[in-house]
Order: sequence, then C-alpha cells, then structure tokens
Amino acid sequence: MPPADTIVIVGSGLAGVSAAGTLRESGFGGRIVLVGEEPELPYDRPPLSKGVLVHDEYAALVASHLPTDIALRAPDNITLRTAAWYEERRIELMLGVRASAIDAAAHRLRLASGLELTYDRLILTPGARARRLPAVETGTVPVAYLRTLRDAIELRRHLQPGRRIVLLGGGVIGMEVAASSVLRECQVTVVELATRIMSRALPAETSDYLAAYHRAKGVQLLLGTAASAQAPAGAGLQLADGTTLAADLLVVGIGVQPDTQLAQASGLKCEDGIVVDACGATSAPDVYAAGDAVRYPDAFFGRMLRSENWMHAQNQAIAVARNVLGATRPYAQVPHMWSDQYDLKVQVSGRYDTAEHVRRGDVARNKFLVLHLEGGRVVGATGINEARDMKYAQRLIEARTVIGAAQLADPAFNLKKAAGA
Amino acid sequence: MSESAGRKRVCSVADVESGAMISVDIEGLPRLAVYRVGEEFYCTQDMCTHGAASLSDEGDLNGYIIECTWHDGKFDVRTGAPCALPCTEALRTFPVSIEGGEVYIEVA
Repeated sequence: MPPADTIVIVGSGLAGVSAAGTLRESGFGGRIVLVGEEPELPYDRPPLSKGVLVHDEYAALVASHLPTDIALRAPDNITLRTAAWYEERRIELMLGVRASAIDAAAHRLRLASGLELTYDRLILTPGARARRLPAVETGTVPVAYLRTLRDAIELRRHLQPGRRIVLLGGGVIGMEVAASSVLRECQVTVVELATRIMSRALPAETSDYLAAYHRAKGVQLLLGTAASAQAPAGAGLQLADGTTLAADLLVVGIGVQPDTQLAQASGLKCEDGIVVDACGATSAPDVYAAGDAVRYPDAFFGRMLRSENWMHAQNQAIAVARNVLGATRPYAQVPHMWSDQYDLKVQVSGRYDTAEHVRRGDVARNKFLVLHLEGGRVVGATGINEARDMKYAQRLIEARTVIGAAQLADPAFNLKKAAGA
Repeated sequence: MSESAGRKRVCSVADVESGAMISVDIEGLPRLAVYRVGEEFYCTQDMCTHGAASLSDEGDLNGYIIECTWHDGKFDVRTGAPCALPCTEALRTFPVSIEGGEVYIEVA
C-alpha cells in the first residue's frame, strides 16, 4: 500500500474524532483534515437527551450524585475534545462544511462550496439522521426531533413545569427524554407501537422493569399504541383508536437512518448503510467508513449489521483508522450499549435471546445483573446500576468462559475472579 | 509525628487490600481514591474525568491501570494519565508517603 500524505475524514461526530486521534497516535505524520456538517466543535451526543435537557435546573438532584451523565455534562461541557487538542495534533477542522461528491478514481472530495480536497485515503463517518414522521407534522402543536445539539437546546426550551409532553417512540431516545422531562416537572406520555419499551435494545424482563419504574415516576406509557396525526385546532395528538392526547409538544423518537447520501451519490455500495468489509473498506479504493452509517460484518452476531451505539462508533473508528494506515485487523467487538434514565444506569452486552438466564443482585434496590447463558457460557448480560459487574460479565463473554448457571446464581461467587484480569 | 501543613493522612495501610482501592473524604478536597498495588500506594481524585463515575466504587483495578466501567476508559494511577479512550483528561494525583503504617498525601 503506498504511503499516505493526506487523510480526509468526512463526519465530525464521535467516530470521526476517534479516527482522527487514532491516526495521529498511530504515528501518521501527514495531513489530517476533519470535515463536518455541523458548525460546532465536535461534541458527544449522549448528553443531548440527559444533561443538556436537565443540568442547572436541578442542583439538588445533581448534588446527590446520580450514577448517570446528568451530574457532569452541562450544555457547554459536552465537547469531545478541546480546540487545543486538535491544534496539538495538527488535525485540521473544516466545520459547517458539507461534502457533496467523491471522485474515487481521482482521489478527490468535492465540498458544497466547490472546493476540492485531494486525499490519499478517505474515511467516511457521516453518522445518521433522525427518522421523520411527516404524519404528525401538520398542526399547531410543535414537533421536535432530537439528534443535534441545536435540537436539544430547542427541546430544552419546551420542557417547562406542567407542559404536556407526548413522546412518539419508546426507544432509547424516547425513554431518556421521558426521564429528563419528568425531572423538568412536565406531564409525560409515551406512545409506543410495540408491546414493550426499548424492544430492540432490551430483553423483555428489563423492558418491564423499566416500564414500571417510569410509571412509578408518573409517566403515562401507552404500549401497543399507534399515533395517527395531530387533532384539529391544536387539540393534541390523535391516536389510531380515535382518542386524542392533549399535548404542548410532540417529540418524535422513532429511530435513525444512516446518512448514505454522499456515499450513494458517489457510487459506493450501500444497503441500508455504507457497506464495508471487516476492516472498514468500502467498495471504492482507499475509501473507508465507520460508525452509525455503516453496514459491516459483525463478528459477534455472525452477520451483516448496522450498529447504532456509542461504543461501536468509537471502537470501529479506532480499528478502521489503524487499518487505513496498513494494519489488517478485522473489527470485532462484543456489542455493548448503555442508557441512563433517572438514577438508573442500564447496560446491555452481547445477546439476550437465550434460554437460560441467571439474575444476581437486588431488583428491589434497583441494582442487579442478568446473565444470559447458552451452551454453558455467558453470551450476554443486562445490568441496572451494576457497571463493575457488567465489566466482569463482558470479560466472560469475550473469553467465552465455560461457566454454569449454578455457580453464577450463588451470590457468594466471585465474578471478578472468574473473569480474570 | 503529627501531620504537617500540606501533608494529610488519608488512611491506614491495613485499610486497603492489595489490588483494591477505597474512597477517602478529606475536608477541602474532592473525594479521593486510594489504590494499593502490592506494597505501593497511589492516590487520585475519585471521580473519572470523563463522567461522574466513582473510580473507587465502580472502577476496576488491574495492576496500575484503573478502568472506569461506565465507558471503558482507563487511567494509570501512578500518574493519573489517561490510557484508553474516551478518557483524555488526566486525573489529579497526590504524592503518597507511608509512615508508621499510615498513608499520607501531599497536598500542594
């Protein structure tokens, strides 16, 4: 592979920043250009549904040291790296800049302004966009989506005491915003099509536990319920069954779409995501991709997958950046996601669609871990406020340690020791 | 010997097992984490610089590396230096001395 002088990264989110840093740390001395559509210094998205919505309003809550990101991440404290960090590493930032076309044969990236960047390697980390729900956008009740910092700042303005907030979608975003809205003393209703919340992320038991927790906090959860359109005269949201929910704000959280616009327009192979191989290479020479926008062969699940979580965005970007510099290490990671709601840290690793499960801890004290077993091994784990034990469980999953349900069920069993160093 | 200005007693040697850590509250300072690696003691701020995790409560110590189990970031307890993403800011550290079975830190 000929040495690279210039590496351009398109997309200034977590994946793009992680890739840029990894290139420099791996000894690459050439030019690194990070191009991003959003004008802000690259920032972290998880606080958008939590700290950015809640911080400063609830000092007492914050002072009681909730085990979530709420305590630390004020709206002005969510940048991924300081401006100095990029300068120290000679990572050139081109922010508020849209890339419009890739000429892979000529190794040129055209920007919307007409400017062209010549690259030796190109890394695409364009991320995803919030899925829209046009059916509810007509009407006088404002409709909010949540993906960007601007979205979050706008949403925060609406979250005032007594406001009736209706969340469409009971996924991760919906439930995190529900929790934040409760903390801002709103009246909260969640409308979810499936029969349980966070059905793509959690096993049924954990969905039920979380649903009960939200209900106990005053959230009205309407499961197995479809929204139709806004009712006339600003009356609120009409449901498929004809009833109307009064609302001051509708927040739509129904998932994201990978941003494949640039890749597709440039002739790269896309299939609900930019298609890459295990090392992150796309169908175009010297063009790689990582993160939310990508469909890749997942080593853990053994099939092509698109992963929409933070750990994947960071870790795939790190792996791909190394491969861009000549390594050939396939990206392989046990899937891991988390969600912070109220004072609960929910974490999921691996798979949970197994026949055998062992619970450790105390559900009543909101601190427990469920290990999912198959073939005498832990293949997944779901935890509530058990970050440390989740780490040990993750090691058991990675090492494919043979371990029995009976051992795991014994509270005296030392999970740390079983997981090794 | 009594504690001198700047030098504060944090715990007894016996309070911390090897390969483990405890949290200590000293007036005027953020919560501290005291780590023991074999017969060596180290002290850093207890809160991870990336999120509000308590490293003593929720961290995992392996050798000199403390891993924050919230997002898998790591620090070297000897220097406070971050050694795995997403942690990029160093932990505040305090020089440690042992005397008469007691662990002291030097506060600048």
